[in-house]
Amino acid sequence: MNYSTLSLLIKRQFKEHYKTYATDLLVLLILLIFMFLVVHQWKDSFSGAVQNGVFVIGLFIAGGVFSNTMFGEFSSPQSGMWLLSIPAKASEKVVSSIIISTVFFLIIYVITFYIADFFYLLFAGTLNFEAILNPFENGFYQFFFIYLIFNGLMLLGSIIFNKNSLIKMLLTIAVLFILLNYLNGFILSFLIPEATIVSSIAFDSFLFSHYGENVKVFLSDNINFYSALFVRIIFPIALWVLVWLKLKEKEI
Amino acid sequence: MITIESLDYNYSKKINIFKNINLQFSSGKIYGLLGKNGVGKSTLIKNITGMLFPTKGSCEVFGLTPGKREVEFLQDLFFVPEEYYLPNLTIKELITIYKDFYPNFDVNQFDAYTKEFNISKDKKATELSLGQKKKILIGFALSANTKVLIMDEPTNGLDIPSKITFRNMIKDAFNDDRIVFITSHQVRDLDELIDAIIIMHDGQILLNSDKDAIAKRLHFELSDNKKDDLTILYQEKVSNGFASIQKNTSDTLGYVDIELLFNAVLAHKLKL
Repeated sequence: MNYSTLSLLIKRQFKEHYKTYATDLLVLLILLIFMFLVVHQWKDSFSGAVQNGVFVIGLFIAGGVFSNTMFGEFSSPQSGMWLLSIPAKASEKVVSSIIISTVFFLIIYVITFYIADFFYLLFAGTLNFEAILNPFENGFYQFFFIYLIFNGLMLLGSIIFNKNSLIKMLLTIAVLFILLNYLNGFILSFLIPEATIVSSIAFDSFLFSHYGENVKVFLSDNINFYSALFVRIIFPIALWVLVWLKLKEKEI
Repeated sequence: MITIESLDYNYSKKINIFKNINLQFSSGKIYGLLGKNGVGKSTLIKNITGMLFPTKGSCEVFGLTPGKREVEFLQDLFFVPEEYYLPNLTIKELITIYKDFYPNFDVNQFDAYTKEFNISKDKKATELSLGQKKKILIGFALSANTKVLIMDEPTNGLDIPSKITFRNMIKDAFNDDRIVFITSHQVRDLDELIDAIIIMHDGQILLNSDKDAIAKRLHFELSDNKKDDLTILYQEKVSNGFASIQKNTSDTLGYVDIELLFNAVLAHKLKL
């Protein structure tokens, strides 16, 4: 990995798209403020941590769209060839895209969110230090790790699909998510056939009905550690490696 | 050197673009790859530039496999496709960002081209006409001073004065370390520029020869009337008479009429 090439690639990405990024940032701020206004207007319908909800929705909408643009050059053969011809390793091209769509994006997103949150709290008349969202409370930070998986999938989609990659990848993710959910339920019913499974979350927990009472079962601490390691680290890295392999074998 | 051995390329199991292509390109020569539209010229070029991978056989550019798209390979090969892309930057920004990717990029050389084209470096790619964009891209390609320069239909979209400028640019920037590979279906555009001719038809190489070797063996002549001479290998009617090809029996190297040669080869009247 050549660090000067990496910095050149990052510089190139920003120089070529800074106008789009500036517009996107403004749209993001407006979207977040709009979502805050909606939850404020119908606050009786939204109980609980509305800031957390707005944060997660904004993170995945903006992050999905942004990550998908990282290899947007493949939407046309001409720009795709231009990208593939840039004298840099495929790994450097992928790493620069990951840095931009995770590190830089998350920093900018968090700053933008807190600006919108500030205005929301100011408008709602509840502005104080405790009211500001703390992402490290109640394990909320886990969404950052889920974002990494989402980022890997969106990058993969932007290389695999040449046209309408955002929609195609979102549909693929939805189908995969449903299939995974059914598969998880099937495995559970196979492992514990006597239990009536109500719901389940892969690599986390399941809920079953026992004499009319719902019982939630979490993974043991030991397994939970490996599960967290898999979901938070191994799975995103595996997806990024897949992105690298797909880029290496990309033909135009 | 570029070496292509037993190269096959299929778009799918049923669609075979070419089979068993064998070619060699040496430094210090400008090659003209000629052929009608859709005969596989662009596909061959994409195999050499690493945009497509061969179905069978091998292709090597100075010992490197194009499909691997290694940095050393990409730094030493510039490809100007027929339908090209320029990032939405000013020409100044384009150079500032991309020059560092090419170790032999010569900024002064590029500046000289922009002056010759009379294009302001403060203009963005979107503000340029198609012809101006192409000139900038060709200027960039030459200034990158790569060992291999490949251009697919470079004269498309250029007006007549620009075609002359293009030819002069190629001649001036050419040196013995470089391989220049140009494809065109507009045969006359490459006249006087190329050193070797490759004629491709239906996925096959019908002719691969140096221009001098052709001139040594063939004599091209224009006459007012049709000749019924048995030594005539090929003859066709042109606007100002009859153009013919016959064996060169003298020691002098004459002019090679590429268009006539192309037609003769395609009519399967010539085998060199």
